Amino acid sequence: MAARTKLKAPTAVPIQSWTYDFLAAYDVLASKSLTVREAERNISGGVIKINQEIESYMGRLFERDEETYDIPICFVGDQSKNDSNPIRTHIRALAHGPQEARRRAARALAVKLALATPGTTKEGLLVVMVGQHSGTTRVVLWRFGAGASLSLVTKKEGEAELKVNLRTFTKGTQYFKAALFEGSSARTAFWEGQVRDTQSHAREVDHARYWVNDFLEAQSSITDARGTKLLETAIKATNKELKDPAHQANLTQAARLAATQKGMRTSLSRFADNLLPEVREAFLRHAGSERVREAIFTVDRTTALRRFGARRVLINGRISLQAPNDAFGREVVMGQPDGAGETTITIRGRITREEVRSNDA
Amino acid sequence: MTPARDSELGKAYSARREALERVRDAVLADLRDIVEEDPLVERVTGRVKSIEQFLKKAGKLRADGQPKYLYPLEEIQDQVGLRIIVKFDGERDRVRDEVLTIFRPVEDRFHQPEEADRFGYEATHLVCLVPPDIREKTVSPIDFFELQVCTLFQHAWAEANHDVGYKSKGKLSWEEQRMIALTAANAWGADRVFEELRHKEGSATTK
Repeated sequence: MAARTKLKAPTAVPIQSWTYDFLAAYDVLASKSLTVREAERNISGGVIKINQEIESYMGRLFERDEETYDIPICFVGDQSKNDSNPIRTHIRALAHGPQEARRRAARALAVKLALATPGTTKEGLLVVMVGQHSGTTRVVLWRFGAGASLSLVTKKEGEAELKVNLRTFTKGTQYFKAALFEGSSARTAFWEGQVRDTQSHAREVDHARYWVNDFLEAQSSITDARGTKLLETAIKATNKELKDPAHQANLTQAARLAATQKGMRTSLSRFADNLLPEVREAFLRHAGSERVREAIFTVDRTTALRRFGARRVLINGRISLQAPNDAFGREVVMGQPDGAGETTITIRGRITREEVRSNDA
Repeated sequence: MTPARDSELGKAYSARREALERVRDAVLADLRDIVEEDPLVERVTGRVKSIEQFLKKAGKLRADGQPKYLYPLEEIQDQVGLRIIVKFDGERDRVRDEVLTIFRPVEDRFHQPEEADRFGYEATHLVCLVPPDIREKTVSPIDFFELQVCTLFQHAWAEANHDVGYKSKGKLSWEEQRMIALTAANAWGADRVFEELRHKEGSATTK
């Protein structure tokens, strides 16, 4: 056994409330596009005995707070696999299985991570930890990158040992990907979790592809259409509240941009980052809780156009009527064409501005 | 189930009914928003499971005599159940796909009797996660709700069977069970006939 370094975490966090009963770590080499057998050869490590030093170090990371795990995800049942999800099955085995089942599940996750890791990504360290507290079980997975303060000193299955390197503590704790799952032993538990990726710029990173979609086989907890709908609802509520035309214009411009950017991944929080401070503040008041605000989605163009888009009607080739889609049927009511092909259009509302312009356009 | 557990569960379930009604209404509003202009959707309905039905289900036993649900409040997934009724069988999958643009499913299957020579309950059966915004808005005590997509005939059969056949399960004679199966076969046949006629006349909607 390697000599232990007496270590004290930089920030003291009370972790006594959790009982840790499983820890495993694997060095994982990128194995995307390789076979499972080849990927198995690209991982090394195993179950780790939890000593005081490791408990102190990992326990601090194990603790959940909104700053650490900020993006809600969920597994999606796969019809072809009897509505189960293979990663969820491993997570449940880790949470409530016997020791051997836990070991197998941790190893299977390491292989899965290897298979999901593209060749451009350097070797990483997967750490799996399980803790219990008041009838709740928490499973946390981390992938630490090169230069992390944790390393495997003995990699052989059954004798694996983790070492904490105090000198790189700060750097190591700053850069990792993590996923946290928590639940009871009910068979319906562990469908949802939270992830964090500190290895890329948090606001820009596309969590979905590598860590969430490819490794965890999970998705953001809201669908694209739902996210777009929530965005629209928050925009409308904010718009009603704003009095300053410049603020309203800022919001409208951001909404139009969101609606037209194809395939843009966003969240209500990310959308808010592009707004003026006063507008942002108002928008976030209407954007729901942290959990809702941080859910990632791609702006759904069909939904966005239906909700943010405008409809333009040209009458007799010279009168143009343009209104937001949702105004049709409300403020703007179009009747059925009569025998001569003429339609009665009724506009009902308060005139908020009127101006005379040249007729060049 | 012991009377003590029954009473405790009943109280816990009663305490959450109001919140369950809020969840039902919120999901119902979302579903109506999706299908309200769809001429091939007959209607959308929703219900919160009654206390009696909940306790009955919670008390179910497995073949080995052990309780089927160790945590009924968490594990019974149809505390809130909704149903979308479509006019034609060929529309079920399309409507299901539209619903899944806004809800995440953990179960998604077509329920039908396994044996080819049997007739009974048929419907697209989804178990979906309560989305985070609805969970927050309604202070939802549940993580899942159940959603069925079925035809008018499947719906009619399920409703009648629920009142007559399902509740009398175990008390019906072989012949009575055959008669109920016959009505299910008739519903299946009616869906087939209308679907075929619709296609024949080229009126199937691709919407």
